[in-house]
Amino acid sequence: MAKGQSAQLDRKKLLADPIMMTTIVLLITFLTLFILYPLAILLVDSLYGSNGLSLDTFKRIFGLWTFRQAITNTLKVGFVVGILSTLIGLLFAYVEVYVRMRKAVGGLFKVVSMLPVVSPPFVLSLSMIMLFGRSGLITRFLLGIYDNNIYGYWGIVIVQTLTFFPVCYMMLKGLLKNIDPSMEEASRDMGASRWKVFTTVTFPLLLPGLGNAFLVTFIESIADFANPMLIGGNYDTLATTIYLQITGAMDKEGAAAMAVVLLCITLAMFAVQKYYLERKTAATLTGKASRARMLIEDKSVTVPLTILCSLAAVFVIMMYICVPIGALFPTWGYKFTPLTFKWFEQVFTRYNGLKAFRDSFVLSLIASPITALLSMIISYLVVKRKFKAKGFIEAVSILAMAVPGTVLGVGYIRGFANGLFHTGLLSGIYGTGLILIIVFVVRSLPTGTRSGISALRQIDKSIEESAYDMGANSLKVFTSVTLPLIKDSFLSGLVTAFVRSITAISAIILLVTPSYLLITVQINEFAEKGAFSIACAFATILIAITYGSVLLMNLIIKFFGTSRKVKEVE
Amino acid sequence: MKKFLAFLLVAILALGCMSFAAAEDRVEADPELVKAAQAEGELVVYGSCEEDYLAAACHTFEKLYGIKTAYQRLSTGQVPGKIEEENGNPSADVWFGGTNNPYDALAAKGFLDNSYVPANASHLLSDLYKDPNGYWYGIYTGILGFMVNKDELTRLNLEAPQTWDDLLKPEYKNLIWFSNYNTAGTPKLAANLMLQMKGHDEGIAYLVALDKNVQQYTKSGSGPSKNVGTGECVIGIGFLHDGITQILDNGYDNVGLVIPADGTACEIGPVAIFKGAKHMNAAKLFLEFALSPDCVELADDTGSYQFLVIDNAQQPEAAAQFGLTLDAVWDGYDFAKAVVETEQNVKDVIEALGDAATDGRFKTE
Repeated sequence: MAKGQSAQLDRKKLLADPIMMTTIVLLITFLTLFILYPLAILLVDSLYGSNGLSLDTFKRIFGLWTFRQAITNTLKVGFVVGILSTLIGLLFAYVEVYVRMRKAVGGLFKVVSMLPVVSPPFVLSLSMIMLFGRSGLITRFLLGIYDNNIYGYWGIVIVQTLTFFPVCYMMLKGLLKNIDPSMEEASRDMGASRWKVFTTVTFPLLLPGLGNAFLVTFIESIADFANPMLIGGNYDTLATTIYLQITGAMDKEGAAAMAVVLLCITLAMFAVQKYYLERKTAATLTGKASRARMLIEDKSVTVPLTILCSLAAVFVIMMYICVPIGALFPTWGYKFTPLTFKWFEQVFTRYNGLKAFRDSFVLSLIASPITALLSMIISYLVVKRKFKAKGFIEAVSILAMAVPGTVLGVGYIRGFANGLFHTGLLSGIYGTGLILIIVFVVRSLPTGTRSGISALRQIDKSIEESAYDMGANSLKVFTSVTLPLIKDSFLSGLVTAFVRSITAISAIILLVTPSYLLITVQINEFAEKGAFSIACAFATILIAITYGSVLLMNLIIKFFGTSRKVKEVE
Repeated sequence: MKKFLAFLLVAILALGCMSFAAAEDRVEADPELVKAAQAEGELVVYGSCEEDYLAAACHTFEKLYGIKTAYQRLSTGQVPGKIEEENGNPSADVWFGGTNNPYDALAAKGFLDNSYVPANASHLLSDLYKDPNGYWYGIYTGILGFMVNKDELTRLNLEAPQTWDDLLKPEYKNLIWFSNYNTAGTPKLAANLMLQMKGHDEGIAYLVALDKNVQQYTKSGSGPSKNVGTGECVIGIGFLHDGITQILDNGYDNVGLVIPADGTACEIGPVAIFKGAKHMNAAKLFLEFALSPDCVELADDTGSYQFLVIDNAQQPEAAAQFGLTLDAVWDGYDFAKAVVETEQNVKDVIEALGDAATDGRFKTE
């Protein structure tokens, strides 16, 4: 009885809140139009063929050996990469938050873990080939191995792990920082060893976060297109198979059906995460950490952890140094001297480099604040409010991540080239910069939302409730209580959105028209054809731009973020 | 001061007239068409040839006629996917370069426009170099062959393969790179050639046997050629003019070119207008331009060394220098037959490779 009453009260409160209602309605429209609708079109395509409603297309694609092989390949890669990335991410996050490091190590560490984030994914495949391929710098010229085959399963796993672990690192770092140290200290005081504290206090608190990290990586991995494309060799994954089915075999119904299968896999993963892991969430955290954590200075802990991370760091750095250096060789793999700047020159003189950089930069710059704000609003609604469409909003915004970019791209072409349902309505946005911006937003939304949700879960409801009780409306509460509390998460969402957008490739490669020249499309073009030096030159400049932007935004976080206040107390 | 300004004005006018006259002089394009095209003022091109050549062609067109020309390089596989999706509302007007197979496929589905017959088509060397129904016109042709890394062959103590059958020798296992039957035009041509030359079943058997020696299939047709010089692959199957580019422009002297002694096939690089193009007159003018020496001779300058197929253009010297000649082309190759059969052939090959895969070859671990 009391339960029913409170639900009724909640509903009443919601209906009496016009700001909230408008936001929800607008949000649902956006999500339906730009995520659900393009996918629905694909579903319709795969079910509704020339001879009416049938499962023929599905029967046909399951008859293809390439497809069956691709499913197993994808799952294998996804699980291994998911687990490896989560573990490495946890290691880095733990060391940064808990362990006292030398300043230099800490700085190096940050650069290293940021690098994979700021560079387009296929850059790592590139340097992998350049360092460890048949004519790799290390394999051939250092070790004298002549036929090292990196194309295939292990190539993809290594490159994807290196690409995705920083995402886990950033997610877990945010979580660890929000754990109130007094809980761990209490158990230390009662005589538990550090390992015991980690396994019985920290780890259970982290478990939902680890689940998130694994899920995010798993989905990123199976939706990843650029790496399997470059380094996969004959080891095809679902994303590449779908792409090949569209661009090569010209079989869009088949591709749509394959996309549906892929979606089912990711949705299953999502269900496991949501209904199993989240039930275990410990809702014991109250507000932000009340004071700074006492860092571990114990040599037996710091030395091995630091060494382990430094080794990983050196490896990652080596991979990235290879990119700018590769851009200086006159004839890669054959003659390495004299070093030359001709590739950099060609970027601007022959390949419209300036326009490419400007277009990518401007579009991403517009998309990132929209993404950051949207994802914070979504996570706020999902975590803090109760209403009927809540499940829908959460599911749909996460769904966007589960869709491989290529498929989303085709869905957009199908759905918008001739207007909504081919009526001509909204067809104006097709082929413009607007649709690219929308794709950028949709593609980065899930990551932002996930991190926003993780951050918000750790803030107790009572803080906001007290603001409501004192008469603030929902806009006021969101802007003056919630947002400041998750400012770090918001700003890092901003950075992530920008970086993801400027380095995005899979969705936009099908949507970009000649009026916009995107830098990643150019890199992909050259890398795929083996013109490594020019691809490296492009990539070097891109990394410089993104890394510069990230540094700048980090500086902003440092001066305006919440952590400053914590530091002052310290 | 006034005098000076007047002089300047006259000078500019004169210069303008001269350049206009020069443009008129160089391309025999209908002035009416030029005017109509300039009224549209814009053109969007998808190119499937090398990026450099595409860029040069579009810039030259823009400079000659003052029509703003945007372009994007997309593989021959990507363009049809995109155009079909856009279903009559194409995001580009013209398709430039690549290989004729996908053009034929698009034409068959009604996405190319044959309403305009370019006057410059009269310069084509042979009717072979245009679509019988006028959906596309050829601008260049290249021949299929092998590119080898000479240093690597010496190190491995191997001879370069001389014929298609040589490629099946066990010593070449895992040394050969080819491109993907699904995504690239090159292997489709090779499949057609083999199936025509050896007969359907024999040809399939050959490709299945070849597959055992192939280390990797690249998505792009020019992928193997670009990886020979670097040593990523030892033997690459592809178009030989791509090999010349690697030697002459990129400095890979270690690349050797082999024309298969048992005959080979050639591709035709076409140009075509998309049905429903938004800048129709500019597109027509571009067709005239593409079939003129102004355009095709740019290929040589930008490292594309295909044979040209119009009679008033200068053939690139590089091809002859490396001993390439169109005589190497197997004269039994039937283009019309290939157009009809390509799709089925590719399907058969992939299925056959799948059967072969059950013995573990494709389980790449």
